[in-house]
Amino acid sequence: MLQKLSARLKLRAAFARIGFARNQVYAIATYINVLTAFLFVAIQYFLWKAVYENSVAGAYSFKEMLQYVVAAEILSACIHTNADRQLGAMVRTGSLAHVMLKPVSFTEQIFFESLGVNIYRGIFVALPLLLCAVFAFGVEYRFGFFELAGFFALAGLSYVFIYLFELLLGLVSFFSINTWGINSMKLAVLTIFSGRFLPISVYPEQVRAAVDCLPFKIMYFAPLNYLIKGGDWAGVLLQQCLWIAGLFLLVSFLQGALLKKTVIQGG
Amino acid sequence: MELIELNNLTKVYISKDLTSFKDYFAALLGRIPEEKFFAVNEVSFSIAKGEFVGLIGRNGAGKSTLIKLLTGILTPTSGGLSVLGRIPHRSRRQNNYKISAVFGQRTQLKWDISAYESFRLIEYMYEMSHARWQSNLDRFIKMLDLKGFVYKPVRTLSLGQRMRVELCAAFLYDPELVFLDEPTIGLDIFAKEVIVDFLLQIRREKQATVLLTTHDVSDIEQLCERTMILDKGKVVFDGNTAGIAEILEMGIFLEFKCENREVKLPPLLEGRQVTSEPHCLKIDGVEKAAVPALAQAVMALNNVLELKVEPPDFEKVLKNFYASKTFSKA
Repeated sequence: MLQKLSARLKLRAAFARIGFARNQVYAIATYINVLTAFLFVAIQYFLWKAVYENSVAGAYSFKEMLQYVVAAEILSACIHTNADRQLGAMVRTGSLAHVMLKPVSFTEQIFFESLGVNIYRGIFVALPLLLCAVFAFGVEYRFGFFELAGFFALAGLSYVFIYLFELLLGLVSFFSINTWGINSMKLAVLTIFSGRFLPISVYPEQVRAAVDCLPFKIMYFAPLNYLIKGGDWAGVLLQQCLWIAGLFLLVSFLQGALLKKTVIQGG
Repeated sequence: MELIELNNLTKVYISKDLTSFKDYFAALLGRIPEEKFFAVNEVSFSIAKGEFVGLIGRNGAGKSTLIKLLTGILTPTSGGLSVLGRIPHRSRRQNNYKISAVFGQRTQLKWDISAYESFRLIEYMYEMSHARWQSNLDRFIKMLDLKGFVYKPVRTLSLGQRMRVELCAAFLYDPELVFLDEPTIGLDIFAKEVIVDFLLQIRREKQATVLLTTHDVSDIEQLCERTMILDKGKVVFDGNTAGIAEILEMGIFLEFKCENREVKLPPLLEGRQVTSEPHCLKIDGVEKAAVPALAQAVMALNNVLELKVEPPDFEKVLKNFYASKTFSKA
């Protein structure tokens, strides 16, 4: 039993290592990431500075806004599994046939391989962003231990939610073969409903009410708003758990139903 | 015990014919009638442990569908199917521990990292003991001559190198059943030889049961004693590879080189496909039993310097086979 568990853990670590190494081979891309990080923070800094000189964006001060948008960028660097894109590529190229011949489920492979990718991106994309923001532009990130711990717990759940959400989109692409429409939807959801680019609390009242009814704000807005503004931690956590449970059921159901209908392309 | 057993297995695909642009909109509304396509049509056969079976068929004959059914990736429409004592689409995950596959045009190795990393993944994935893994790997590296490139990223390998690495990965965890789909496609003769020798070795040691799909009939001739021919979703031939030619009575080709310029024809040759040239006599389509008598008769009348006896060309046999569909009832 213990031996089986250890083999399982080793396998997962091996997937993660492969995900990590896969990125590492492109050394130049890593340097470009650092440069991009610097440019991103610069653009955000001057943009919001100009905006706040003429007006005030509701609930967020200039300092908080900068904290939010940079933290959102950092989070987005290492929170996406791109399960939809990976699954879509597998369906398109037919490599799914190979993946399905493994004694490990493809969802597990995708999750742990992208975990490795995200650890890589955490170190080589998110960290330069953070350092750049703090030291070059004086963005303040000083939080207490409990605030940080609370944030990481919420961000961890966001990770799971995003993975399930992307897996759902990928499964739908199984069915529709074409992924274009699904990608557009993902982009729209991320841009408008998740808080990826702006805190939802600065939206107009009616829009905010609509967004509040949807689950997508738990991807970015929930953990980031807690970090910067504080608030009802347990309430947010509960909300996340409920949505994750619902999504998990939906994904499991679709996975079972769609696998039965699989037609692997070509060959 | 039979490793694979099929009983009237059928797989039907449902498709819609979209002939005009308008049809695409009609299809959205569900107004185009569905068409049934029998990719695999009431197929029955069984394969025993350790057998090497060649599977031949034209494009679209149902080979890939059959393999997907056997691996449990597809669910059959009707009929019985058992692989390794289990129903594949119900126990896909358990069966996967003992099944392996090489698809000539796709890779199972991770593109950006070395083959060695992928091999290590296999050790954990199939819960192998490290010693077993190491000894298999050492052996296969030697047999397939992988030494020079096993640590290089897979994307930098040539096709021949990649195929050898793929085969290593496919056999590394001692699978009981291996599907090889066009493993030698596009390879030069040297890479091909390495691969064929490797598979012959595997066959000698009876390590695995192999189902080989290919268009290259010379592979099948060398590797498989048994051949199945699939056409339009049905098994139209199942038997000894060499026996295909015999059953078809394509006959043997005889060529006599003679000292005398004018070749004399014995009366025995009447009604046969004979070509006579200066110093040379060619007879095609001779059944096995008639060869000695014919040869004797020709040699009695001519001063024969050289005699060539060629079995029918497998490719030609297949072509003939597809041309004469009546044979399927034989």
